[in-house]
Amino acid sequence: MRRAFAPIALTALLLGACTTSSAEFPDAKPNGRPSIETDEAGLWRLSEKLEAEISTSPRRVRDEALNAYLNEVTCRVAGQYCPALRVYLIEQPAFNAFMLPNGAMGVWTGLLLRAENEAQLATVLGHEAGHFVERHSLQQYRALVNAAGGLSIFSILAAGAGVGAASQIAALGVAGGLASYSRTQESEADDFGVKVLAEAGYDPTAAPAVWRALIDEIGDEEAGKSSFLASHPAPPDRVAALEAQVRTAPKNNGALGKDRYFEITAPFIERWVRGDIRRRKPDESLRLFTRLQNAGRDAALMEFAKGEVRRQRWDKDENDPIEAIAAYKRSIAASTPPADAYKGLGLAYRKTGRKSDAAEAFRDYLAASPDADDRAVIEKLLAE
Amino acid sequence: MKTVSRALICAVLLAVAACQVATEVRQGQPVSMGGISVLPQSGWTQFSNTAYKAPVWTADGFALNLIQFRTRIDEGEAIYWLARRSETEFATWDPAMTDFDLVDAVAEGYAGIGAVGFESSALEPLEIDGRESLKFRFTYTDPNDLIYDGLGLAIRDRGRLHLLLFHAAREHYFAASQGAVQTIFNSVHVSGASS
Repeated sequence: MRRAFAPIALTALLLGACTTSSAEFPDAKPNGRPSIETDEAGLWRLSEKLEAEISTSPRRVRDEALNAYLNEVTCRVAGQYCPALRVYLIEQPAFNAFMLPNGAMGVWTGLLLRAENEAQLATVLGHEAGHFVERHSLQQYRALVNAAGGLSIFSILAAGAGVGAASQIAALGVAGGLASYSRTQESEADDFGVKVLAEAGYDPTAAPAVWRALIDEIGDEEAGKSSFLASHPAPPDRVAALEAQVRTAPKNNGALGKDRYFEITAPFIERWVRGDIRRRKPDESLRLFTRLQNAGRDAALMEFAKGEVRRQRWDKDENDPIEAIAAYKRSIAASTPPADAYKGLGLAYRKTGRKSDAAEAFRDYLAASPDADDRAVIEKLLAE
Repeated sequence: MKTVSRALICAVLLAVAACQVATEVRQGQPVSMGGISVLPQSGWTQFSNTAYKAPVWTADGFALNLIQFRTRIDEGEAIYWLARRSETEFATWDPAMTDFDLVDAVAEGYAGIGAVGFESSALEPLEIDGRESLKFRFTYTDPNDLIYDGLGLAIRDRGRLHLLLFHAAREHYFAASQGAVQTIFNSVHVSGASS
């Protein structure tokens, strides 16, 4: 609770204290650090401490190819600011990204799962780069200091959030606090994001599509409460603003980069899908998996995932049992189903009392996964 | 201001001490609780009235190694429960549940304490005093980004469930206490069983 308090309080203070105009702030320099005597240098020092903890977090995804790809896309939208930015991919199933004042950007794997193409990913990376370029954290900090009569926030942060202790989630929490912006700043970052998206040769229609998909997944009200969107303009307003911006933008015949995005992320999708199932938000997960399947993601995996969600929330919806079985069957009928689809089908049949169908599915599971470490449990079910 | 802070700290410490009753678990002394007994071969400290709402044992502190004894769970009761959380948030025990359902319910329980990336493995059916049982391993990352490994033991006892869950920080503590915990798990006897 103590750890959670500081970022929340800070966020609230920052949001409440947003009185500083962006016009007073020249853009960040593409290279170099702020002068040591400035308050911005203090923000950077705190950010560096957080970055050090994030960079050693066990949740950090260290796959070289995936990280190289993320850096490449970031550089494509960040242009001259590329050398100033560092991207950290963090294993977290929800949709989120944040930017620290010193150019360290956090991207959650839930964002990569949800993006349908490279242009959508670039939209969020460009948006976050916008926060760095326009020095939004410094603006927020100065607004807070003005509102607090000149008090420093560093000690509050350090004491309240456990910075300095071996607490890496505290680092993420404080990072969230440092990366909380006003609605005006979010709109500015959106504008920046769309501009650089088009300049980088991407199709700018990807920008509103990202937010529309998120709203469809979690609903207007929940979208407004989500960690990523809480301080942002109301989600529908944001989509409308982005759509208007895209309509007036010069047509560029930009690319979506779907094939390449699918190819690079394919080895990780099953892990991210399983992570999303474990969030235990079945309605959201079902909408997400349906959307991803419609977007062309592996049908066998998405049907398996829908089967898992239905089976695990069994009976919450009267259609769950029949839908779970149907989803597993569609997964199995597709090209390369996960072996677990057979197991899930067996468990679903068993729950509906269809024991011989269950036994057949379990045998198929053992054939598809002869070294399964739950073989003994399956054999026990077969023996019943 | 300092006096107020000290008073507040003392009050909090007293309240914590009053809520969490600690008792020593002695090596070689059998311990009975809720329908089972165990025989530890090393010393532990037992706490009651913790956030877990079940007796817990620890050797080095809650954050480092912990055994939960969730015993005598009746049909319809939550399999996992936590203070300040509604029991309706957690799956309830149904004797018809498969071993997979059980492990899913445990995963859900750990999600309730902020665990992410819960993975189970090595599910193995066994019998304890003639009762159908299951042991399994698991791993997860906690909200402080610490990786934990764990062992689970579930015993189906005449329609009821006894669930023992051990987790410890992967770094040093799991390996250091795994043997002692395995000894405790191996020593489980079900009350009223003939063997």
